[in-house]
Amino acid sequence: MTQTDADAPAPTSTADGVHVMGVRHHGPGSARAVARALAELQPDLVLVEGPADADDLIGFAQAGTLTPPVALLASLTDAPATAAFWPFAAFSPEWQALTWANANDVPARFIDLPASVSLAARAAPPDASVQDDEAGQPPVSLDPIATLAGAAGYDDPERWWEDVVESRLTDSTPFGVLTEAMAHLREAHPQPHDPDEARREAYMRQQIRAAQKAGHRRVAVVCGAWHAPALAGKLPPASVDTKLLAGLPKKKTTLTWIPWTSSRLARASGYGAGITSPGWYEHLFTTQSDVTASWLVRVGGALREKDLPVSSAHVIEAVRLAETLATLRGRHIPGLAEVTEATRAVLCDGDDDLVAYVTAQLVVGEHLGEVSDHVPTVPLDTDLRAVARRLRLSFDAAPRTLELDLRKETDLARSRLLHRLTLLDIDWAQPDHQRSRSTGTFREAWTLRWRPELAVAVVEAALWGTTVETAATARVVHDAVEAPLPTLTAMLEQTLLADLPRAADAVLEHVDVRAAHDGDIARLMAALPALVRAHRYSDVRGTPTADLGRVGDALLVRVCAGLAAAVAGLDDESALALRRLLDDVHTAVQLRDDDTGTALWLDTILALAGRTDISGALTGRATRLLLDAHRIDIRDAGLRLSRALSYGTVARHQAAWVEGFLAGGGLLLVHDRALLAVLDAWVATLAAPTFTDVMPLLRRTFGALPLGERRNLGDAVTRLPRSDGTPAPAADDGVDLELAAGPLRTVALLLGATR
Amino acid sequence: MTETTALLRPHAEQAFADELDALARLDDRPRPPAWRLSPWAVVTYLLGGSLADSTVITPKYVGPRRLVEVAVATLATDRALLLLGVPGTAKTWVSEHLAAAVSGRSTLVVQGTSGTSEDAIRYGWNYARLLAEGPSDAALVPSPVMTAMREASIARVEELTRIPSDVQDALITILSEKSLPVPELGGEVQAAKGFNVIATANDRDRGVNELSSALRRRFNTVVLPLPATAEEEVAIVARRVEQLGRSLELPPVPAAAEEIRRVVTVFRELRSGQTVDGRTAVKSPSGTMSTAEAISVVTNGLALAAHFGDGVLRPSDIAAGIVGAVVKDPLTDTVVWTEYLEAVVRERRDWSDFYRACREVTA
Repeated sequence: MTQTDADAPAPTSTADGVHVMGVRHHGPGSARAVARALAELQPDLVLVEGPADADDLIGFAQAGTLTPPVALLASLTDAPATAAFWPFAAFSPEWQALTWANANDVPARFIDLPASVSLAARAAPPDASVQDDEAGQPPVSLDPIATLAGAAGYDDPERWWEDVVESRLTDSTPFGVLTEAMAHLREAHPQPHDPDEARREAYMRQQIRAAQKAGHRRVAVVCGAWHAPALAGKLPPASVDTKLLAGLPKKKTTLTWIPWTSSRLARASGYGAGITSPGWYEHLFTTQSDVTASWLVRVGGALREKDLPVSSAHVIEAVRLAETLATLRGRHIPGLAEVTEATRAVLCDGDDDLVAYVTAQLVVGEHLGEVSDHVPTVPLDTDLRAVARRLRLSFDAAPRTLELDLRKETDLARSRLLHRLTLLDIDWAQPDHQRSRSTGTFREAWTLRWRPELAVAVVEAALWGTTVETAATARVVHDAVEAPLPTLTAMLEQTLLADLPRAADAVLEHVDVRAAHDGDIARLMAALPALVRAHRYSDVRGTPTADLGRVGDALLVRVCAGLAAAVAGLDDESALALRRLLDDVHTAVQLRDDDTGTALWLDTILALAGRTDISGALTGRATRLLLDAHRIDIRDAGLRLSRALSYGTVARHQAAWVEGFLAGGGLLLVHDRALLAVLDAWVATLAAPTFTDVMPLLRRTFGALPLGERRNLGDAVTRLPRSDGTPAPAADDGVDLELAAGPLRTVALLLGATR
Repeated sequence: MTETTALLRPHAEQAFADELDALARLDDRPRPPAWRLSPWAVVTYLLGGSLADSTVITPKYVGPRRLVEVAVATLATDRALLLLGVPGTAKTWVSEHLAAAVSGRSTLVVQGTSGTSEDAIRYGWNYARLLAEGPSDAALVPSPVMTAMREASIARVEELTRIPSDVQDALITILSEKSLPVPELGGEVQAAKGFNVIATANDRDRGVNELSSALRRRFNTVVLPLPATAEEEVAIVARRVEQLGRSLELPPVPAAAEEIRRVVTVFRELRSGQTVDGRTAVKSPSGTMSTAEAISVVTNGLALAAHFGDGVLRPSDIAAGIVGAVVKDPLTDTVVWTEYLEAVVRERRDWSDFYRACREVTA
């Protein structure tokens, strides 16, 4: 399919005015060579490998509008999850070609298959995601220059380029020789026939023919080196290519520029393999002399910022080691491998963590590209901006607190938007729980802060849909498939807050199925409260509740059925965890306020409270919950306390019981002297070693009580009857009735006791 | 050459004299001053290869090539080299072979201990002479380091971090000024081109004396890792066992690849805390379970098989050695070993001989 026969074409085929520059994508050496070649050639048309339907976007590729790294994003309009990226860094030859063309008012065009065709092909097999598989050996065609460099013993293709291509060639451009080399490489490494690739090259040839027909005299073609032999020289008859391209399916596609980051350049993308060291490449591109030394000076600077003692002497030694290593390896100049070895051995004392730090900071780097506002963007971004404008929310970099009153329509809409964005991982707003709690259920507080990287998050989220609502729904529906039960109910709550009824229904269905199959009672218990809250507050927000109540009640039934078995044989830690879950479920049951459910729950914990074979923390807690719910009276509770603290049980078990019983409020003891007396008698009769044993538990129990309660409790204890029979000091001791008469009268007046 | 065969352990430059000679003869690359070989040839000597006249150079170190390259390049830049690693990662071995290849001798060694004095690094005196004649060159007893400086050779400092800090610092002047003042004689010894120091240190040892940053700054650090894969480790063990067997003149026992693989597997699993298939977590014993220990277990087993067994390496020959290598602390390590034996070894069907042998020894 390509021209690799013996009568190979003149490398850059100046005869018909087409100059093919086969480059390494993201290769700084190639980028420099392209810039030089363009300046010399002064073409009247620049053709660049890239989706042809992105031609309208080329005009934006200039300083002030786009700051690389940026990427072209193409996504199917009706299925944005099918998308492809073509990233550009400042050191990408394609970027150099585009900016040169724009700066010199020379028309530029993309010549690869339109994204509408390549994406349509990709959409055909199900679940074709954005990223290609990263495992396995990439084919030679992805980075043929790296293959050439590897054959020459270089592991850093850019240094090979520098060393072999730039410094050895007397020609002003290296592209002729490279095209020839590629032709040989294509012969030596025949790739399995790839119809996609054949079509792409056919399409590119068609574009070149069209340019010639349009009368352009000097055409510069910037494409991946692998394709150069297929585009250079005398082109084969057009009819073959026309046939190859006939009847390709097409789908409506949206294209836009988006900001990109250095670390994302490392990913595989529309331009084939990603690059792992964008920071190093940028350095190679911007630094003309003393490349190794200035790089290691930067490394030294980065390490100093981490407060590591790196002196100039260190850097000098590192440069010497890098250069000696390069000599030892038979290379003329140190590459990334050599400078990294030198960094490790000299600057980092062999510490791999530090080397990893340097790699993240410098070798990869964290540059964020910029796209100015007037560039058309992804539909989701447009929708987000429109909604935000309507709701009068501005994208400020400075944090701003927003208090919402959910009874107002605008505020409710704002709250829904922010909840939806949270579901989409666009962290523009952080809920301010502290404030929200203190101001009631119909109030919400958020902190808004817009960061430029969120633009990338928006683009990623754009894969899920074109509007915030549809994207959030799609995302939730997708996530629900994998999520464990407690996460699911939390998600359900969030979808209700975000007013996504369709997503809520889907999640609810999953909850129901998952609950039926899940044998882990603790997980069911953890899932219940969010579900009940969702049911309860859905009314406040006007969200239809559909089956929420039914699923919640079914969940409660499952919990009650399984609890008896789940509490046996727990160690202290799990018992404590389960005790907290008991509280949560209890609160949820009260919130649900459904008679059948409440009765079932109370019966269940009543059975629990009577058991002696489980942790005291649980029985104690169950007793307390029953008492609070008026299911048992205080006398019964006292009996249970006394029974739990009697001789038959182990001291640690007793202390755990007390802790469970008293957790979250000791006022009970202040008011009920009988209970306190039982407890007091128990502590008083503990033998010394046992006392030491249970001391920490008791301390934890009482230490958790609020200060006021503790003081009251202390007072109450002093008034208990003494064990030796002496009467307790009278409760009314020290009360001056005459002094109290005045306030009492006022209180009586206030209460309306007229007498 | 003939007398080295009577030696229990010949030095590297004795044992591999032929290879060094062949390399020196065929090496046409530039050599740094006073180097016996070019840096390229030193790397070949360590990593193995074959030469133009089809002399085969056996690999001395099995591991990442880049580490050896960095080490040799360091010596070529006249910076001192610090080899770091856990016990049994061939630090001393690499240092010996580097010295033998670069200077032709590996015998200028300072063995670092907590009792190493400054005399061992700088110089001492022949006190009888000192008293009789006063300070003179003849009364001076040079340290290996001083000899290396005079004779343009590599000096080795073993276990640098075991040497007390104040004694370590005696190296600072030597490494930065490349000279060793002798105030008693009013003079100094200046290092000839070709002098350098290779130090080894253990980075997982208790009670080490941290290097001062002034000293550390004068070293390039190369961390020698544990073997990356089981295949690599099996290769290392097999090669060393064969060499040792020859020099110890053990009767030849058929190379028992399977038993070696088994030993390496046990060592790797206990070291990493999980089984090879990643399914079962196991406890790690208190010892380091280094490759060097694996080598000694197999060598030991070979001796047992040759002298007491039927001449074939059997599970019973290595069981005792393995238990000895694992159980360093009789209390905790016995638990670790028993657990491993019952949970992992017993489950492997083709390991039943080994399991029985180990049970016998453990009980």
